[in-house]
Amino acid sequence: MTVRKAVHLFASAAAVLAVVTTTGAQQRLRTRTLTEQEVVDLMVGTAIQGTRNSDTANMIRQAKALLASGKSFTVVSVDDLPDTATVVTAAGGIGGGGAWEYVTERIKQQNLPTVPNATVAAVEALSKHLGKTFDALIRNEAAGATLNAFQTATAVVLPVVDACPAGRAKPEVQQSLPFISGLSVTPAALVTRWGDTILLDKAVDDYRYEDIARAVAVASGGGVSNARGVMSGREVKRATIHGQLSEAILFGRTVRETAAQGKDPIEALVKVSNAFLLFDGTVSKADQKGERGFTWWDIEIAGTKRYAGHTYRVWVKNENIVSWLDGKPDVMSPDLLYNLDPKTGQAMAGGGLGGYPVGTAVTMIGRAALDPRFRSPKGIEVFGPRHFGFDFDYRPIEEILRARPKFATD
Amino acid sequence: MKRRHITAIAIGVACTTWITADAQQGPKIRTLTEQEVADVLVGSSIQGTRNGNSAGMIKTARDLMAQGKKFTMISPDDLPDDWMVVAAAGGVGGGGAWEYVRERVEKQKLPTVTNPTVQAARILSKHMGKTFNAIIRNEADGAMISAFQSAVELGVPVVDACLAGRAKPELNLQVSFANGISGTPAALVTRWGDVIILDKTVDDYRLEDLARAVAVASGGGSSIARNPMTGRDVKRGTIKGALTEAMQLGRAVREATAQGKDPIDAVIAAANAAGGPSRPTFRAFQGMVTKADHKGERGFDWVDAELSGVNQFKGHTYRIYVKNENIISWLDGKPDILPPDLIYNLDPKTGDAITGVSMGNYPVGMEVVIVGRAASAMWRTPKALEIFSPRHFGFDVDYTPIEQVMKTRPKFSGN
Repeated sequence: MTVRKAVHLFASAAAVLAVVTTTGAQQRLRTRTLTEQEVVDLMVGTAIQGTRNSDTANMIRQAKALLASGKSFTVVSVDDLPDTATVVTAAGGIGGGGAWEYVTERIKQQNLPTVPNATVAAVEALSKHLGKTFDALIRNEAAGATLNAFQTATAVVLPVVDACPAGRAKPEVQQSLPFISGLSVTPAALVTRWGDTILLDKAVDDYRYEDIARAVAVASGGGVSNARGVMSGREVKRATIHGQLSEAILFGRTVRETAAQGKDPIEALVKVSNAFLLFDGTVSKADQKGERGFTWWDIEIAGTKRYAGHTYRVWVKNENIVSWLDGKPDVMSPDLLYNLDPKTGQAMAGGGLGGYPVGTAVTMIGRAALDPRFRSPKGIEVFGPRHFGFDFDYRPIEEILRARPKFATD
Repeated sequence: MKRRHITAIAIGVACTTWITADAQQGPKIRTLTEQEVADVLVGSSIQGTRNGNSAGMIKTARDLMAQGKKFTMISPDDLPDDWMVVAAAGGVGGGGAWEYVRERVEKQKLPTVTNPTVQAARILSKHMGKTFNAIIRNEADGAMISAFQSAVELGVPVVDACLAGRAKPELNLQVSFANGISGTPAALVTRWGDVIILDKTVDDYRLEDLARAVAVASGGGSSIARNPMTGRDVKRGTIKGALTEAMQLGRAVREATAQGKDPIDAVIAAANAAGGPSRPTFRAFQGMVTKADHKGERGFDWVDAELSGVNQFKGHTYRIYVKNENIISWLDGKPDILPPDLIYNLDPKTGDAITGVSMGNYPVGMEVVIVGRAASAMWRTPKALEIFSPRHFGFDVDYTPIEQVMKTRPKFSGN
């Protein structure tokens, strides 16, 4: 028996075992425990889903450390979630680029200790405030938030739902299917790194949640953990994108297997994700500013291979939002823009949040928004180019790609 | 039979007397006269250590009284130890508020809520599962009328005390903090009705950071109910008699003006009488405002003001650094009055705080009198001086009490 076969066998056995495992939650949910390989693939895949650069290696390290400490990554499918289950969005932090420096300076002088797991504290504070226990967690977005959802889930021993309110990472809280579908992200609990506990009992709308949570992050050293978006199982079914963890595992496995076989991981990823290859090039410019809670980048990529002589520009607000090919608007949110490492097919590494390391080779691929509601008038109002201050209308990626100049072997 | 009847009457009378006595034994709460209310509001503007708007506050108060509302006050000495008191007195400012929020909310046409401070008090009460028996003002100036508005709405008295004895730019600048009484839990309600409960902050500095951030993200202000404390805490951790003092200052300038006397002399005399020998008050400067550079940033209004001396101060220059309130001053370039000592900027004609300018600002071209006053002893403890000092505001100067500064200062005739 080869080693590979043995691993496969073991994995299958673990999967079978896991299906019969249930958690001690309020409602006994049918859950599945992920294998170590699935966890690694999940991290790689969710970083790809993130629509920005990523420190994937570090995410894998943290996930493996959790597994090594005896924690299980358990997942519940949306179909197995009872309508009456209570699910909480507990997935890490709100960023605060351009944080108030006087706060960080004062706290350094005071030598204030930090709390070990602020998201767990936020889940507990929200549960206490509502007088409710939670049956499962859901991630708020892709990328680091997926790892954080599992860090929290393993700490409170709950499964993570195989779904996502956004199907990507996104800069602002309200850029999410539940809000577009009429659900509120409040009540919510926020816990700062120093343990301040804030209950955002009611925000007029998710825009106001975004304003206030962002301000808290800016006043708290550049970030705050939060538990929010409490939904019933019925609401999860209606207002989230199903199968998002499974998709991430598929993406991770796809690039791993193709790279191992010496094939082009990008080509394979484009195929399984129904994406479009947009551009190949080398990062020639990356201008950054952090202000009022966000990290903003203006990126330029000089074309290589069949794109030689062409220029691609990407405007980043934490995540890739809008791109231009030779000065013409190309892919725009809510459609998805992935910046990938052409050798591994993984999300590009390095460069700081949302950044692109200058001089690095990058491949841009694009995908249609994952739910038609993102392309509804409300979805475009929340997440379209005009929301970000651009004076042009949203155009779906598939239309743009039809009208685009043809590149050889395209 | 007859006897039994008499006994019954006697018992009845005794019962009635006992019930009445019990009602009278309840805490002594005093209703202020209309004149007293006006005097408290003017005095509170003077106590504010910045520009004020007494006329606006008095109008608000008179409208309330015209509706039959009573302004009631309880002395801290009469406050039962187990009563719950809350500082539900207006808002946290947010100078330099995020513009994009205002613009978006304008487009959305979001309605504003009425009386968010009272809402905040009710939300905090519900969160804590406790009823508030009285209101305490967190600072002087606008917070005074706001405290009465909340008290009238909730049907409770205002305590004759203050968390600061002045107005001050930051929430952490309060003697309660120096005495180990936390400002949290606190409830904030924005003008649009967002509800935020600051259940726990590490300390009052963090309360300040977070409440200020909410204000900056909410169009430049947020209403707040905070510092829930027991009557026992009020007695040990606040500045007592702040309303009575305001009333004395207000009466002093009113009477002096009516009698054609100098209202500034009257303020100084009244402050000296109220504060006693340990809290002397001085006429520090008089001059025309020649410069007032203003900026709104990170939740505050910052002003750099300069006065050119008149009368006995002719030829001299006074500079005041303002962070919402007057914080520190210089006479001819030399540090003069230092925090936590008080810098009142008064109108020489009325003795009231100067009016008609934006928060903390000075009216260029107008004559202003600067009156300096020793801070309350509650502010001069080592812990309180750690919280409220020149270095806290980034000035590399040690605190020297005003009475010592005045001894080494050049003499001005008629000083």
